[in-house]
Amino acid sequence: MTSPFASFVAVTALAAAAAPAWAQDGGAPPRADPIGDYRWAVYTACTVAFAAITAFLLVTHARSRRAADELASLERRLDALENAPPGRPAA
Amino acid sequence: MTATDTAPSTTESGRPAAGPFVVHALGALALLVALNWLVTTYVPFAVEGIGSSYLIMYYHVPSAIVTTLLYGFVCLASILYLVTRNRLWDRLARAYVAAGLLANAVTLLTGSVWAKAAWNHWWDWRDPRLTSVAIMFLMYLGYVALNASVDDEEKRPRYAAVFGILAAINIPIVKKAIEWFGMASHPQKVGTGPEITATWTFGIVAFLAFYTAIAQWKLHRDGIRERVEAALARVRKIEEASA
Repeated sequence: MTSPFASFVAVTALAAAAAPAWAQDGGAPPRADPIGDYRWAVYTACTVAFAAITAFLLVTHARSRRAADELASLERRLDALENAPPGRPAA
Repeated sequence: MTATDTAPSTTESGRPAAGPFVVHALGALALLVALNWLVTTYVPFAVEGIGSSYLIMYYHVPSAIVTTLLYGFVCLASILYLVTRNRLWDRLARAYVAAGLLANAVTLLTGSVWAKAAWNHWWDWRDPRLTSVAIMFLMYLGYVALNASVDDEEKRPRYAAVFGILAAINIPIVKKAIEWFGMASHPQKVGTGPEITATWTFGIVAFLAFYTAIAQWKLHRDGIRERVEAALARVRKIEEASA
């Protein structure tokens, strides 16, 4: 068994052990409205969260494009090395 | 592997094309902001029985539906991999699993928050739909663990594809859980009216755009990582030949 699968089994076992406490009945729900006047705060928080995730995706994608450029250059040099005649360095 | 088969949209130099991804990601963001706006201003503030806590359903239900759609794509891509042995299908399946797991986690979290507001407990193991969605999440975590555990690059995609097909059994179980196993504490329908239905439909489109953007992002990164590994293998081969 390799380590990712062992970690998966360990996390599952921990979740199963914590499950009874997680599902504990807290009695009747509170009377007060849980959102009340916070509707716009929820709107702002959700919008900021989605924008942050999108910004992360765009920034990391732009970085991966730059990495792809450098990789393409390396691949061309490897092509030249592999196709060079024996005993002669590639141009 | 060549530079051109790493992703469906690449330029001549092999780099991922930025345009479609940027449009996709920003489009998804615009749809999600519009969804937030609809939830804040358009739909009823509260419904009978559970008050305003039902508003979280505009995120929970679309995420749940999109989760099953993404896992359905995983099953399809896995079948196509086994039929064609084209590695692109394996990468697509892994990308959709990553996006599906995120959607699945959002479904579980929002469902749990709603349960606390409505039932005053975070979870109810007697509810077959909650439990089946949690099992589905664990099964697809197992898919990720399987991919990380098998080092043989010939066997790994095959095992993952078989797992991806078998795990799809969860989709009908989640869909039919209440019908098959009873105990309908899970709400079947929350509120009625054209504005509620329209906002839910809009939410499904918005979240589908968002999670497929995440899948596309993962697909590009996996493609580049595989090219790096292939380039390193070539470097080692050249070094061995020249030694």
